[in-house]
Amino acid sequence: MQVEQSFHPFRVYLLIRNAMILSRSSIVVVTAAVTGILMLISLLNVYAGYSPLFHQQLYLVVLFLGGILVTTRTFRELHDPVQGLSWLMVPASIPEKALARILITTVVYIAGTMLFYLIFSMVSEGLNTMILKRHHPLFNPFDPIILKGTLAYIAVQAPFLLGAVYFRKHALSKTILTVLGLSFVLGIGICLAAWLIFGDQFTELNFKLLFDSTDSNVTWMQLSKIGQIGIHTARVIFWIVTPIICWAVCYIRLKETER
Amino acid sequence: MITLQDLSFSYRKKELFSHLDLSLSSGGICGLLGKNGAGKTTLLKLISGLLFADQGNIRVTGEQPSDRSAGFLQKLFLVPEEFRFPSVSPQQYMRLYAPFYPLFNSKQFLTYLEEFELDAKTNVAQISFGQRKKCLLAFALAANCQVTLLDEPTNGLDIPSKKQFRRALASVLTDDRLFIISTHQVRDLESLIDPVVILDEGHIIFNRSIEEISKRLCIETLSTEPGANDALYSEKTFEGYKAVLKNPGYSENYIDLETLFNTVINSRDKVAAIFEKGSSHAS
Repeated sequence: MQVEQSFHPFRVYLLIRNAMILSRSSIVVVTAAVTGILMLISLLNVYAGYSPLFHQQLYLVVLFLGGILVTTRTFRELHDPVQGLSWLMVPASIPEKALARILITTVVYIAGTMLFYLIFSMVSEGLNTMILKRHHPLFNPFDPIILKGTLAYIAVQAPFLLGAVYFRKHALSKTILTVLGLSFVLGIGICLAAWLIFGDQFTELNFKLLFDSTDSNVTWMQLSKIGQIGIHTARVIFWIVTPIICWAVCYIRLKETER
Repeated sequence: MITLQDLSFSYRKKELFSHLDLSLSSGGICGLLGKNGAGKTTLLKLISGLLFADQGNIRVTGEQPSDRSAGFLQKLFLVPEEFRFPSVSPQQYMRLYAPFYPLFNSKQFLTYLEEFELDAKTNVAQISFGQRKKCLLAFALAANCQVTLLDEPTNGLDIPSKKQFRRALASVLTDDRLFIISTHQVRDLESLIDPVVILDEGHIIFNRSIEEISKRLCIETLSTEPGANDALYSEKTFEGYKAVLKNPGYSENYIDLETLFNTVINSRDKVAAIFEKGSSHAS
């Protein structure tokens, strides 16, 4: 393979393949443990009653909880002084290495858990039917709830991926604290901005606008429009801006890592 | 092949290299010698792009190591002193990592494994550190990279393995390849090392070929201790005193690297003067 370009999909494939092969024993052990727990939950749930959305909800729990745990551990070898050196010396560019890790924690993980959960739901519902003569509807990976959930997972895991590359130890708790801290600062910032812009609309803890719009410079319609823009902006930040920024910073951090 | 210009590097506030210059060309096995903490491993890391210089320029095969481009990493292999081999067999390791190296030769790898008496199908988790090191060395040699950096390669190897490694190393040396070996075990690789680079207190204090060294310096065994002005360096042995002297006749003779290292460290200025005079004499 005489490939010297800075980006080649074959090398990304090799990196993903190697990561999967080298962690296969952990994957087998964790999958076995999770299967046991899920079987028990499924059995207890059927015994206690019937929930038509049981598998959809349980799958999303597996997707988010497992995915975030996997993501926070994805750069563990990079932080190890000995293993990190070997990882950095593998002949692949930093964009390839970063993309491989992003794909492992998103596309590969989602596809893997969907396949696992589909098989699990078939087996567990078979057992439920045998034991309790009742069962949940089977897991449908193409259910709109699942598809929207997987998209939300991709957006949510991006800050955890950044945390994984940034923090050497306790990446999960440090990322959660950082996200909470940033959300708090952002919240304060928005409140301050609102106060500066609409401060004159507040009198004696009453929102003058709501009761006496004739007296106000801002109409209810205008405020509603601002609200809609705010919601739209928040959506764009959650679905697009945050993941892109997190992945970009993750790449920069990888690029500047020294061992 | 490797050029370091005006290189400065420090760990936090502790300066390690200051305005360091070094130039190495292909076709040799460069012995990088130095005391503990002299910066040998750091220098190898700077050359391989694992550390970034504070100042100065590094070029390896025409590329900047800090970019860590795939093309650059395909041309350079680093065998660190400490490493963690994944829990797979050498054959599986080859399947996993050989596709990254365009010039990797699987036949060569399997031959080296055989020479090192390693089973290609045994999981490395079940073998000793020395055997794992031999596996990594076999891979490094079979990768056929233009630049191969070896940090203390003979540490952990048994006596027969050191001989096997020397033989394998000698067999892969070509005009377009460069090996840099950082080692304290100079005797293990003495017959192969050329040129010799000595690093001390953040500076390259010596960078000469074996031919130059053997023309300028000679070793004599004296019955009495030589005076400071007579010898560059002397040490007591069973036979008397082993003294390093200026070679008056410029005829080539053998100098062991351990004695050379001690001479350069102890009489840096005198050695430098001899080589400078020698250079002007030769020209």
